[in-house]
Amino acid sequence: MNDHQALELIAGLVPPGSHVLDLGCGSGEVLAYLRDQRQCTGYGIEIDDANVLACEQRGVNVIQLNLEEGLAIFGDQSFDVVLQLTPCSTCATPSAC
Amino acid sequence: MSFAQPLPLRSGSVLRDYQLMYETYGTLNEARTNAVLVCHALNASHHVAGTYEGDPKSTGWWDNLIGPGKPLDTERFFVIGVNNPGSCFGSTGPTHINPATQQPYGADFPVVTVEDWVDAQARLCDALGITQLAAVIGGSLGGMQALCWSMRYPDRLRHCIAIATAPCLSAQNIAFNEVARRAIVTDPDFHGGHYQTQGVLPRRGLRVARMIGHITYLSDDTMDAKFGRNLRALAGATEACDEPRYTTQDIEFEIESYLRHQGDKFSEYFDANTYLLITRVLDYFDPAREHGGDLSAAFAAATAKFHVVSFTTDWRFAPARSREIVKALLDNRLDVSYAEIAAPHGHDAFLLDDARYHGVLRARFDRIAREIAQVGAP
Repeated sequence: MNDHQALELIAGLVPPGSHVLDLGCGSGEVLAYLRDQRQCTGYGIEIDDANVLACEQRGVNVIQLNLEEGLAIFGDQSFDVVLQLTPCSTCATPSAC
Repeated sequence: MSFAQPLPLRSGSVLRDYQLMYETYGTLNEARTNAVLVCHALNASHHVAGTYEGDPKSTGWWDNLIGPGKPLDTERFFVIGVNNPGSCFGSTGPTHINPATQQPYGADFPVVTVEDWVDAQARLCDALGITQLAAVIGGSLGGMQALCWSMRYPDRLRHCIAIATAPCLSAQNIAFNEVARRAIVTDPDFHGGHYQTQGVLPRRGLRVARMIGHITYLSDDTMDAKFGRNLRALAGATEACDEPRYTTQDIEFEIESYLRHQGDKFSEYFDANTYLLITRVLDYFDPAREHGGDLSAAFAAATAKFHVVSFTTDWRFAPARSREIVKALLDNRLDVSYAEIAAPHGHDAFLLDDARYHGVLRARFDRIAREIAQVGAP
């Protein structure tokens, strides 16, 4: 399965129009795809400077925080779907995630 | 530009017959959709970019960000810089003549607020024929104005870019401002704010005010790296000084020399009453106040797309304060991106050229330009 097929597979699991939180959203590829192909809204959490820039270049909403702080900034029941597609390596204390 | 219609102020007072100094850069497109308003902070002006002819030292205060080919590209955007009323760079302020008394306003200049400034800026936009700005951008106190635009005139901007700012000042912030104000007000040359009619200037107070302010704009690390505990060499000495002189009143450390120099420079060009007014503009900004302290409710009417930036070493407007803003925007499900830049320079970082910082701003303005082109396409 190539990256694009993986993207389509994941996106297929997200109901159209969902409000999505993508934890560790990387360059924002998934969020951009969901926005463009499935009319989704939402935010990505990302700590890495280069990825934050890539998200901004894609016009994807990105919040530059680590995952713990990123999760804390949202109220309960804020999203229809929460994605976490990368290993939780950026957390200071992975158990908290 | 002169405004005949009085400007009602939040304090209940009114500003009559006022003028606003402004500069524009670039060209307003035919659809009038590419205008970007730049809001200044405490000590800056309408001169945001470029230099004046014949004066190569007159570089605008945000020239590293704004200009041809720069992140806020004046070849694509029509950029407006405006000096706010109460300031001292040409717009009506305390050094101007009060039409009611025919004397300089001095201490009688009405207290102004962020909201009043934004109202004045909106009138300027009206006069320039701009109903909706592509973006409003500002850092520090300028960021407060950008946020205020999004709440007060939600239909009049598409993007709001708020940098190194806060939803309101903390007690510590107000405390620093108050020390600065007391330094000015207790200067024997202050004369209750009417020093102009006495033919003097409260320079000593202004110097101390600026020294205090300057400390808070720098990070501890920056100050250590730049000055450390280095001793000031005696005038005329060729080598660095490595023995203290054991003096209480002369300059001993390099940092003292630097601060005094900053204070001296500032006291030559800045007006003391303006300093009092603008620190109060900062103190009074608190949009959550009229919503029972609920910042999210304050943004309920906002529709702009937001970009919030903070700097990790900024302790005057710490990242935690920007996160409060971000949280309030998220609570309203608004479009928002937040960049927390690990820059070493403290609050001053918002005026400096950092590749990560300018990178995300460039990306944002590229996006705004794309949106303008899409709307404009036949």
